[in-house]
Amino acid sequence: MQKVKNRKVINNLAISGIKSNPKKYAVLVAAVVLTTLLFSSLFTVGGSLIKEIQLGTMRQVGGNAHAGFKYLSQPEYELVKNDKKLKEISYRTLVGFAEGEAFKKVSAEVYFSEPLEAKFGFCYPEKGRMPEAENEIVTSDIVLNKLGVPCEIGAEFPLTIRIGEESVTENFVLCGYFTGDPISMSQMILVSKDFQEKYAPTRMIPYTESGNVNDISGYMSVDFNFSNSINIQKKVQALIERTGIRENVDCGVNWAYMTQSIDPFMVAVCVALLITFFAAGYLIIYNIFDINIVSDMQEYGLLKTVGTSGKQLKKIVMRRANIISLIGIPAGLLLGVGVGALLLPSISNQMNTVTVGKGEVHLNIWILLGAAVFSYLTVIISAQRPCRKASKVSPIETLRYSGESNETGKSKKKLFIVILSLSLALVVLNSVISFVSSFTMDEYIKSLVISDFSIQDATLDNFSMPDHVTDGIGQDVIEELKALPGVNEVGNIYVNTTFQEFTDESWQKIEDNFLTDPLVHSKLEYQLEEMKHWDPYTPEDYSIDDLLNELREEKTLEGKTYGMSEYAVSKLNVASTIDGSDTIDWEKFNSGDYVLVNRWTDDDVSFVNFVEPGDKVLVRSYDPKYGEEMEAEYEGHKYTYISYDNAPVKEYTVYAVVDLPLAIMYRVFSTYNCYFILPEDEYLAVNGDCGAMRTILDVDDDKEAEVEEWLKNYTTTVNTDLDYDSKETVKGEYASFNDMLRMVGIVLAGILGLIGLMNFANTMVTSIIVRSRELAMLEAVGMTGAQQRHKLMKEGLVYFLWTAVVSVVISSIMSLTVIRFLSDEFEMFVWRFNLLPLAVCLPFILALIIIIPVIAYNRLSKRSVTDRLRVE
Amino acid sequence: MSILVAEHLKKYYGEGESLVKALDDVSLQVERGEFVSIIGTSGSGKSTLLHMLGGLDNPTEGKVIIDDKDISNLKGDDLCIFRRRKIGFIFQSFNLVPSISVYENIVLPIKLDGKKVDKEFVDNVIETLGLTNKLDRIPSKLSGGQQQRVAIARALASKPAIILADEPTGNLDSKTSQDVLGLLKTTGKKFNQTIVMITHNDEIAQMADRTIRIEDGHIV
Repeated sequence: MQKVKNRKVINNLAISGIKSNPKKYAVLVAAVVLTTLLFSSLFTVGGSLIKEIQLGTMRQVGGNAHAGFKYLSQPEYELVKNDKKLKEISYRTLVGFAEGEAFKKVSAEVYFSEPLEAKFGFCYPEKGRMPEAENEIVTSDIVLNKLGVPCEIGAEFPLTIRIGEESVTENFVLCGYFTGDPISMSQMILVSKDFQEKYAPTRMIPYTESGNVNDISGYMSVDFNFSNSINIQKKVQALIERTGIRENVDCGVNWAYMTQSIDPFMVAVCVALLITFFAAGYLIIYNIFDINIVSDMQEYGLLKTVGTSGKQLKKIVMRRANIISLIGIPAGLLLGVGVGALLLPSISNQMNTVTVGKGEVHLNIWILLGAAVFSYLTVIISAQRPCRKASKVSPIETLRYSGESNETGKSKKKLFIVILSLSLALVVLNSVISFVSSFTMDEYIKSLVISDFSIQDATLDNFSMPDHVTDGIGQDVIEELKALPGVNEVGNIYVNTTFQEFTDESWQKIEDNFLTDPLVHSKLEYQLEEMKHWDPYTPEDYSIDDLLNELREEKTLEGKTYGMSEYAVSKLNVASTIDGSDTIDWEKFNSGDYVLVNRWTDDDVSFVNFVEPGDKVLVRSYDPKYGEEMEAEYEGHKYTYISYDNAPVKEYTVYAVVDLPLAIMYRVFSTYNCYFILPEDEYLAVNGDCGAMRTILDVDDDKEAEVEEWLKNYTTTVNTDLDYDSKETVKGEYASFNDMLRMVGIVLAGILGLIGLMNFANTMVTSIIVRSRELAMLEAVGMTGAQQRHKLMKEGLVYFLWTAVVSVVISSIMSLTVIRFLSDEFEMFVWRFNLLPLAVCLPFILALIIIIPVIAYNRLSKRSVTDRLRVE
Repeated sequence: MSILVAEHLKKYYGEGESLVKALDDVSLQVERGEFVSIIGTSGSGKSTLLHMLGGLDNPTEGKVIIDDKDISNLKGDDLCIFRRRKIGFIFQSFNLVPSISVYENIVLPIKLDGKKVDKEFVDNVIETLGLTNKLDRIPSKLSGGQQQRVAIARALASKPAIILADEPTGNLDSKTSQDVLGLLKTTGKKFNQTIVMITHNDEIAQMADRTIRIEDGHIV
């Protein structure tokens, strides 16, 4: 009972203290709001991006259920259906695959699906309803577009479905549709239970006993959720054992729930931001608390003389901290989510996450809780020292405490804190802006665009697509491009991903030189770790020697063979040639006896040669006419593949060792990336006629706009599979990336700056209030208002000078270390020492630092001298 | 000739029911070189009177004339400048600037006025008040009596027309009070200064040449 009473008194004291000094605590609440704003905007952006990446994966996978079984028969489904540990379970039954011209590029699967399963798979109709009658159908806008059917309920259209070995064509009525996701591996078409049972009746015999593994129609895909997403793999295993379903059931855990490897760079950025925000919050909250406690000392002393213990005083201070948090944190969360939502779209646009619903805020309780916890911790930690101070001071001393004793020591510490607080904002601003401005357009464009235009299949450089079309540009397109007015040069690039072969002599050199190189070796070790981590079929004891032994046996390196026309070859960087010149003589290269080979690199700084000019390598023909269909068996499953084992192989002499600019490459990489380059005609002679992967154009400057207009029209109306890049679009990308960084930096520095200035203003105002008697007394003995303002401005000037010195020094250090390091990390950044942002900001800070004390003084001097003299 | 004249001074606070007449029609005159004490109990209006006389506050009605200048209508910085030239203040709580030395405190009003310090005169004052050895200290290192002597020196240093002392011994023990008052009186005579002192203590009031008693805002 004693405790309860005591708590009430302490509460009363805590609240009455705040009530008697609402302005001071309002400043404190504002500080907490700003700190929380910083944390919650970071958490909102971070959390939403993580969610976006997860959603992106789910969309690719085509579902958000935790895990699922494939190819179940009805009796098997019955086994798991009622398992008590499953939170939700639903299924869809495969009918077949859509066929026809429309489905050449977009594959679509036809299912009967339960409504819940449709929701799991993002294919529940947004408009309309699930199919009920036999001829009713639901599908995505993408499929409808491909079919040329309008997105209207009631639209009728025929659809051919391959069910097992045969095809069925029926007329359907659209009863619902949803927004399809272009990054999904396969589009969904939903039909009614009646239709499914009629053409692909649900299987009663397990898949493994059916005898025909190629016919999977009528089998059920069952998806389920557990109560939480922790350790799904184990839960699935337990489920299999518990229900007695067959051991070898096809089961899949949604990747989106697997622990993702976290980008260490992003982690470092986040940690740096968290520390910066904490520091900013600490500096202001601690300072205000400290100032408050100095001016509250008399109250505390009084309480102590009447018998309040140090512990109770601590409780009062902490209670106040809690009350402040209770008001400030929710307000800050709200604002922070708003700021986060504002920043999110431009940040998200720079990342490969999802294509639909990009930049959406994904809030959950953990994000808010996380931000709240960080803010609360900042408040509590900041209040800690002032709190101890309050509890320790003896009553008599406290009664006399006026903040004037030890004046110099105290104000020095305050000076230090305020200067740090102001400098923090300036340093962050300077660092961000100088990082952003070290982004050089020229470097960036040089690495991505080496010509005026680049034309390729839209899927080629889109990393969210599961498949890339590498021969999208037909000869007809190339002819059209050549005929365009203003086009000077047309460079075609063909590609074929393959395993590179060498003569025995050359291979021996590779074994002796390339494979023993320490750089290559360390990359292989890294690769091995990755394999063990990701590929469950890699044995635990698989060593680097095993890997090398396999290579020695195969005598091949994985890579790509390019075919290039003269203009494309002119864009290669020549490292060394057979005749010692530093250029490639096209006539000689084009003779058909020569090949160019790239150098191996992992960082674009150090290079290792695969072979030397003059060495011999082999190129195998992948002309379809040499392909032989072969059958193979893997774990009881039969499958067919095309073999080129008997295709002709031609020997070439290495003319030169070169480096390929990113702009002309097929940007899919693996461990070795060994590239052979043949002249265009030779490539086509070896591999048969095929489309180019990419075509680059050089255009007269005054015709660029016309050609761009033509390309835009051509790729949006005539040949929509193609896409083009121009210097202009790359410039646009650059600008938006730059804008994003700049915007985030400015918002960040703005908030930090606000905190810094608030800290300064509060310190100045409080010091003016604390000294109001001293100031009044000076006025009494004849110091005029103008003189007093002058004195205060001078004090502000001291803050400014120190802030300027500290921020210049720290910004310089940052620029020379962190910014320089970051700029070196990314090739499109060129480091430059830059203090210009500081030079621009400091005058504003100077103005504010001089104006704020004057405003505070003017308000103070509204009270008469005699009034102020009376205040003790 | 009167150096200080107050005519029909009134100072009212509040309105209607809560109207407080802190000063109600007070008139007085002080001659050059006179040492006058104003005595009254707490709340009698003596401090308000002193604030009016010293130009720290403006009266509701009436006039204050110091050295032939009517200050009742002076405002803000004009009043402030007048104060530092014509009036020396001595406060109960000394009111020294804590961060600067004793000497700097003493010459502060002169420096604020941008004038040159009359070195000979100030040294004379300092010596008379026995502060010669304390000039470099900061006020908090001095005893109460010593601090008040610094305040007296500060009041005298600018050679004002009049010195106003508000309970100058209020924070001092009786022995020190006697010393400080003795010094105030003798230095006043020595430098021919006019002094108006406020007190609630009869004994101290008696040390003045003339005593004015104030009760409930009236002179009696």
